[in-house]
Amino acid sequence: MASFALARCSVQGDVVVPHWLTERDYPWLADLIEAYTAFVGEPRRRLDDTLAAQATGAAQAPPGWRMAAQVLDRVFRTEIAAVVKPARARAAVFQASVSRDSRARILERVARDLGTTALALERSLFADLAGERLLRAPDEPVHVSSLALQCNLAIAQAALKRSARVEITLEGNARAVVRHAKLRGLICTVSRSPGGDTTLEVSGPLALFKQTALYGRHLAELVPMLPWSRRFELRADCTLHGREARLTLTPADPLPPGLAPKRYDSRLEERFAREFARATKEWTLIREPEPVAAEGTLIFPDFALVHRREPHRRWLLEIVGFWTSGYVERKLRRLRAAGIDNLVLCIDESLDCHGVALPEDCPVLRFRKRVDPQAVLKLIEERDGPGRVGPGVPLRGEHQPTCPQRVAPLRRPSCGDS
Amino acid sequence: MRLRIGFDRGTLLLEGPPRHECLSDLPGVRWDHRVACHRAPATFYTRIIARLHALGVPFDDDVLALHAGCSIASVPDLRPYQAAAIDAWTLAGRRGIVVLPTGSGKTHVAMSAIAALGASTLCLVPTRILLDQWQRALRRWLGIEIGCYGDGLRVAGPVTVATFESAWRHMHELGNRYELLVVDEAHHFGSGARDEVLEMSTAAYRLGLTATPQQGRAAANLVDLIGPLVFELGIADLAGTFLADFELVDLHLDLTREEREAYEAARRTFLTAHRHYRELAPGASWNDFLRWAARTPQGRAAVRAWHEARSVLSLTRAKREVLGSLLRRHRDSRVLVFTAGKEAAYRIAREHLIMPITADIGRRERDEMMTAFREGRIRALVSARVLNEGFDVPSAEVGIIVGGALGEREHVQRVGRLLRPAEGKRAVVYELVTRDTVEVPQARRRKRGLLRARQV
Repeated sequence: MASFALARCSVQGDVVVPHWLTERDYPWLADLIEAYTAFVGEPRRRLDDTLAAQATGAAQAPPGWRMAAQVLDRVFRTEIAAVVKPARARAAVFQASVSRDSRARILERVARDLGTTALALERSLFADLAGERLLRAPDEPVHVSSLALQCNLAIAQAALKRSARVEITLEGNARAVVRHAKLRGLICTVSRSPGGDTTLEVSGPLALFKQTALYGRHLAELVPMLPWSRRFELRADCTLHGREARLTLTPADPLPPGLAPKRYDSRLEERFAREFARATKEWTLIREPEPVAAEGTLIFPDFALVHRREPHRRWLLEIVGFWTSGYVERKLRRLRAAGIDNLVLCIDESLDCHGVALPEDCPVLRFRKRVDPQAVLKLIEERDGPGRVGPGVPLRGEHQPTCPQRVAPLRRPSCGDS
Repeated sequence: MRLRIGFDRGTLLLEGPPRHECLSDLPGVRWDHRVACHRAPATFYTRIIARLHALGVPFDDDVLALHAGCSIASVPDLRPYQAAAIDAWTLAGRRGIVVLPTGSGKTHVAMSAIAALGASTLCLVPTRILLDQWQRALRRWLGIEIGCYGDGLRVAGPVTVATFESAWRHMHELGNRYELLVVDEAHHFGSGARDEVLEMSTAAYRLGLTATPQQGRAAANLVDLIGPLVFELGIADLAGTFLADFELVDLHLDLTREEREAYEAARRTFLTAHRHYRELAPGASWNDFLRWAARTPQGRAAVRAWHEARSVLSLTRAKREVLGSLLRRHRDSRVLVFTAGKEAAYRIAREHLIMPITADIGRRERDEMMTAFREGRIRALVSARVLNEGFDVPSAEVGIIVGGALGEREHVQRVGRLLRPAEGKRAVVYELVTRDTVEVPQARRRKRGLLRARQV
């Protein structure tokens, strides 16, 4: 997939120019969908032969059609049609062929043993090969516009797969990107410009030393998340066609949004939210509140707890899954330096791999298996003094993700239109 | 605060140092602004530790999370040259590359190294077939459960086998768990692709195995990543003594008139365009030509013609007939058939009812059929590419090369399949070459390595 999509990225100077598919490409994309549809129910190789003939035919095939075909391969799946299970047929036939009988005799004898005809047996022999499987109609009809968008996604991802580091400036939905980075074992640093924009730098440990492709796959997974931000700009240094060049993606690029970002991290949090609501009527629990800036980075609390009658009493709560003492120490240092003292860190006791004692005076709550709402309430009631203020200024634009504007489905042009 | 060194996803993190500038001078270490710590690729582990000891800097070492080593039930008896290879490797500080021809028991050398060291070991192999074969061999000799990364499995053990691809994806969690790395077909590394696998490991001891060592810059990189070349033995040193002796038979075949016409026409179309392009762009690569060709109707016709010429040669009428009679003649021997492409392999499989071994066939079925082949329940296998490296067929006596535009190295490896010692065995290799076609110079080029080996 990658190589055909990669061919749609050219390098001009030190800039990657992705050649997006647009409305101009709709006619031939429609033809391609038509070609696939025409071969439904037939062995896949017939379609492949037709496509191969197109590649070397007298008329030049439109650039990008091979990539589009690969996108369609994921939509038009195939199925095996065989009387005898192919592996079983092979085992029987090839072991029987030790005998000195003729080919026809061998096939007949095996077919009789398996209760079928020689012809059916021969057809079953390799019915599971990619070329012999039958093409199946897709579950839903393919629209030419969505095919174009999926191709564009493939183009962007092909370039990103050849990068070791990306920088994303965005408004809204930063959380999903940070979470993805953490989940994939990438390093994510966050900074804020004076204008209030968040800039994330995502890379892997080894990226410090070389332009490695090791993290490309995970960096490419960020692309479908971008359209969920109101504004974004992604910059990636890629090694394309043997040259170093920079790819920039903005909302002006025709990219499809992926699945909506997941709202909650884990069952642990779900459970805490549920139990907390039951445990107290005094406090309101807000899930995934705005991030807080601290010493050049952002902290994404899981919850904000606000007192109903005294809203100035506001606590943040973060549940830390995997941690080391060094990590917790660094985090506490950052919080202290930023003057944030209303954040409760809940750390999982069973994951403390070093057994190092933590400072006594910090708002850290150890837990096993579940975070106890009563313990949290006790801790914040103890610490709450009068005259508290809220944490660092909320970040502009950090709200729940909104659905990005989808490209209106266009009428699929019939072949006559082109 | 004391200096602490930890393992972080294939790299080393150096935290809380008293003097930063001293850390930057350590081998491989750089300042990482992203986490405000010093960092180094894991492969520098032993060098960094040695340097810190030499400097007298106190530090906490949290890097390794080693698997327990293994105590070995039995060790294979080594042949004299295998023992010599192990000695040379040990003398080089247990870092280095051993060059042995295919069929000379590279796996035994590796097992002896694992047994002698008794350390946790990660074996890296290029293909899924080798993954399986190494696992089996190790289980048999070491008598322990063997870990496996690749072919859909992810199980770590004191001795683990991993494909290059799977290791590349999972080294961030495997990198600090093994003391010994065994790299099979080590010539795959050194040129940049997948080198991260070796860079992300802390293993102090490294053994590279290959039949065909790298040259030039890649070889220099391998010295860094695995170690220097410590032992080399050519195929000529072994033939007739430890490897089965073999006969090479070239069968020169003709094309039918229709085939000849189709071949010549396709060849003409291709050569006209190709020569024209070579004049325009001397020294350009094949891929450059393909890109250029895609832009004009003549160019596309040339590429189509090139494919046509190849497809005419892949399984000519004469080849099919000769293959039929060879299979009949060697009815009681184990026969391996090699083709240029998958399509020809399947055609032969259908026509002669012999089992194809290709990447399309699942692992379990491949296993079963190879066992059946070993036990003599099926008589022949046909393959395009899968059999090329390290496929262990102890008792194949006949090889038939139907086609293949392979390099010298691949050819030596293919023929090497047949050269496994067996009682009173003499291997025969037939090469089917079509007269007055590109196959003649191709075959000559391929055979050079083998003939050179025999004439020494």
